[in-house]
Amino acid sequence: MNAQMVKRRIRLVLIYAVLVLLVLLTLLPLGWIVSTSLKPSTEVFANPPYWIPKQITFSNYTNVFTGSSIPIAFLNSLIIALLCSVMALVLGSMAGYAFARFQFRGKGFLSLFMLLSQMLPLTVLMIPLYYMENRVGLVDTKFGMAAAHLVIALPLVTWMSKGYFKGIPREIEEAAMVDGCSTFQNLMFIVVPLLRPALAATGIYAFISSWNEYALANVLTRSEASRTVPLALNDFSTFFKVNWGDTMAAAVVITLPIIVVFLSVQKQFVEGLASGAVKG
Amino acid sequence: MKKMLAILLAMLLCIGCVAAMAETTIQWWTPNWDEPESREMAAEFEALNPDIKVELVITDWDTYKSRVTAAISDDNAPELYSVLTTDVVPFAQLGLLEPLNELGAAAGVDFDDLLPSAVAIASIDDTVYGIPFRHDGSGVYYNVDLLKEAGYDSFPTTWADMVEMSKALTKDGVYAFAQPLGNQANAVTRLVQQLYTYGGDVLAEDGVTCTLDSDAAKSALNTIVSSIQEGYASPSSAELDNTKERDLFGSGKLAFYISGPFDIDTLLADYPELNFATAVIPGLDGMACTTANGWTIIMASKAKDENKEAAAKLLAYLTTPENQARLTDSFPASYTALAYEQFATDYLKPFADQLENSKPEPTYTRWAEMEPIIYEYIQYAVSGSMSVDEACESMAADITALLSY
Amino acid sequence: MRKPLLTKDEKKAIPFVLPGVLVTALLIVYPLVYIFVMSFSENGVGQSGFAGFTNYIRLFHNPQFTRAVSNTLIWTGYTVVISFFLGFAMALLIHMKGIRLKGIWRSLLFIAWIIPGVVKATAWKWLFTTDGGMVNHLLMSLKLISGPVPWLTSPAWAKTALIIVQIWATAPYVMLMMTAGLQQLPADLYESADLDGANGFDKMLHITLPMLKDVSFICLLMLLVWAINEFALIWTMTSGGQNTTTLSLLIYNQFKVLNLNFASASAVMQLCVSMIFAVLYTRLVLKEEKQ
Repeated sequence: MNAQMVKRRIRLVLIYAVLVLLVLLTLLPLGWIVSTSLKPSTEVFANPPYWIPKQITFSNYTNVFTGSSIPIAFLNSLIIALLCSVMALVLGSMAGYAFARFQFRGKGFLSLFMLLSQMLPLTVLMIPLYYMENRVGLVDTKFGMAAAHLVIALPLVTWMSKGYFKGIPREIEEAAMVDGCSTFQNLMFIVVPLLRPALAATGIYAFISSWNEYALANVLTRSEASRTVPLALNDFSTFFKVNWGDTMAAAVVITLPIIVVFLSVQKQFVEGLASGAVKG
Repeated sequence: MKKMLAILLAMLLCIGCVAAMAETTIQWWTPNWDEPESREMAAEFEALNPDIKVELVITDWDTYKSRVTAAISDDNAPELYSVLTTDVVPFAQLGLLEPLNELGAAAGVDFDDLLPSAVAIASIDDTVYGIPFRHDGSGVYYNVDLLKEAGYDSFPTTWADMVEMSKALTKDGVYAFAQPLGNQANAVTRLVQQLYTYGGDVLAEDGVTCTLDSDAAKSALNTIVSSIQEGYASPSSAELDNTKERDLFGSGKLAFYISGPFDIDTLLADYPELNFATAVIPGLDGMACTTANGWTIIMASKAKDENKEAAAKLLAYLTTPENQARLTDSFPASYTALAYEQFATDYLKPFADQLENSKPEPTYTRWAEMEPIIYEYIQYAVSGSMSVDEACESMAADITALLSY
Repeated sequence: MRKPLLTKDEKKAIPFVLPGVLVTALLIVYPLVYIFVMSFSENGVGQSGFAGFTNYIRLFHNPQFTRAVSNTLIWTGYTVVISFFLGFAMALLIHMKGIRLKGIWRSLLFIAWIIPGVVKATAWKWLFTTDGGMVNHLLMSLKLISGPVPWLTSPAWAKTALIIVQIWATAPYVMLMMTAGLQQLPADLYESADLDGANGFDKMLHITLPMLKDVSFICLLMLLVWAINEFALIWTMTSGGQNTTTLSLLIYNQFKVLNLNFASASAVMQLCVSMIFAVLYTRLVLKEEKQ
């Protein structure tokens, strides 16, 4: 009995050790970015490299906040990602609901279509999407950028929410139907409240995808009217010179918020994913 | 009350008039390192031409090519763009650029004052597709103190002497120099410069046979590979670009390096203690051949026709000798501007001399497809997974195969 | 009586499905038609004479294309398989009985997936520097390697380094999905299996794996999509040098210089590959649903 407990203890300690190692590996690049962002330019390329700056400086951050377009880009990204995730949530969950609940002709084809659009490489879409938006005057607008990001977000939300809706027993809805609810009311007032964490998770997923996207933003944004954060990182490099301290400070500024957002809702996020993950 | 209304109406009308007058808006895409000067010049131009508004779009080095490509190829394209001079011809061949001979002359561009070698890179036959405002080639930056310690008062003039000196310079963690092989554009430029020095060329006259398997090409690649394998060029060459090379040179870890004249200001600002001088690149017996390139302003042919005249006006303004001198980070592409005092420094002189023996960087139609192939085999040769001869023969074979279809 | 044009279900479904499908169609049908047409056109912008299969023939004769295809296959194969199993293993570790603070471990490990692509690629490029890079420094101070490894500067290592980073970034996604799936498994199944005297391996094979089939499918699909389409990571870290050009990069390089017909032909080839996976996937999923 005692020997078994010892064995179990040792096993637990080993597992914890592995987990700690994995977490360290996960945080390695983040640590390096933070460390570099606090170094003065003379320490940035020190060889051999070290983690703790000999002279901690916050001047890189001052540059980022006062002398760059990062604050504006940050606001742009926030608006674009929000707009995109809201649009994706509304359109995608409606479609996902229909896929989960109704039998209709062309269902197989349409789900294949939604799936396929998820698989299109963005480098392929880049130029034709630009032509399209240019002709209707959407280039370099926040709405145009958010709409383009629907390419990634919408199929994703559709697929994920389809799984969630399947997990809701039909009986609940049928009971509501008897009470005279229309299908739409049904969705809005019965099903959606049940799935709040799941839909929130999907929304966050869409938000992060939009926030991080680079290839499309590269051609569809031009000025401070719509430029997003991944592109604003280039502010600190020119033909002659890359200012690494500033670039890394900016990287911290654009990465931390989404990590914080995620950490604050991680419980709902995982619950949400879970409800779609296994068929009930 | 009525009076008030009348005044208000008059004011509205005035605003309307001003708005109508300022109807033409011209977009100019300019890179972030030129931003302060660009803003000043745009404001000055607007003051001189109240009926034209200038809108700037700031580009950056990493993304400017793909962004300009998308914008310039669709209807109602933005009007003007600053681009690398070697990018002009490929755009022009696709019919995306406005010929500037007449349009430019009418707006006041003085073509006779522009350096013919710079204009030639931006032209097809006699049609000019861009007005260059910066034109330069590479040169050598060397650390005067380190060379003195090794017993050299000036920089050697032949490659063999330079190799000799390099072996003496490499010690105590200091390398004689490095090769910028961590960046495709930098690496390919280095090879092409050496290739031109040895009298070779990338393609044969027919334009479809690659001659990178010639003896000249093999010797050229060999100078690069052997400098690293024999240990006097830094072993970290494979991941260096110009920026990192300059940092190593500035902090005394390299005795010399090859780069463009735009590094002078940065070196002076970032490393005030550094005692450096410049020289021409040593060649077989005398000065090597450099590749010349620069920056040029182009006009999109797909821009609104009614805007082109105003755009040409702005273009002419931006490329006057005085403004070239402000906009360039090295040399201007105008004779008048070149004579200005600011370009007559000791640091710049070798770069000016070097331009005497220069060839334009390649502007082949499919050069952008050839570059990655060349780069890949340079990397193979440097990492030792291929011999120099093998690498040259493979790159020639691959490019010939590419061009034959 | 005539059959009605639309069934009752269809009438209900249309207003729900249509907006989403239309928006998606609006966004991708034009690009799809565009690249398809361009792949059969002669070169040039706006000049589009019919070129037959010229572009495809040119493509197959381009030595870069063949290399890009094989690089894409190697890259996809390694990253998908390793990410999947590594992520699954991480999930099982966290799910072990007696591990506290499951939520915290999960969140910390998931951070790798959230970091923007450009940021992680830049950071890793730096960490993998041969001379003065943290990875070599750490490995050398742990005496795991004797000299610096040329991570990004030799054809032999560059692919490995890229694959490591992609796994680092995507395995956490599998971990999260799998922990989510594991949480949903009914405990009573395991209890009855325990009563039957099943060992851990049996339980894994007969309960855990079949129950996680759906979530595994989703994970594998996402891993595939990400691997085939990955661009920012490879572009930032090697720019396709050291024989790391994948189809995605080849297409970008072509589009960048407005070589539209050639780029489109490469894009159509890549779509064909993705299409095979998509069809297989929907087949599997739809078959499941019918049962």
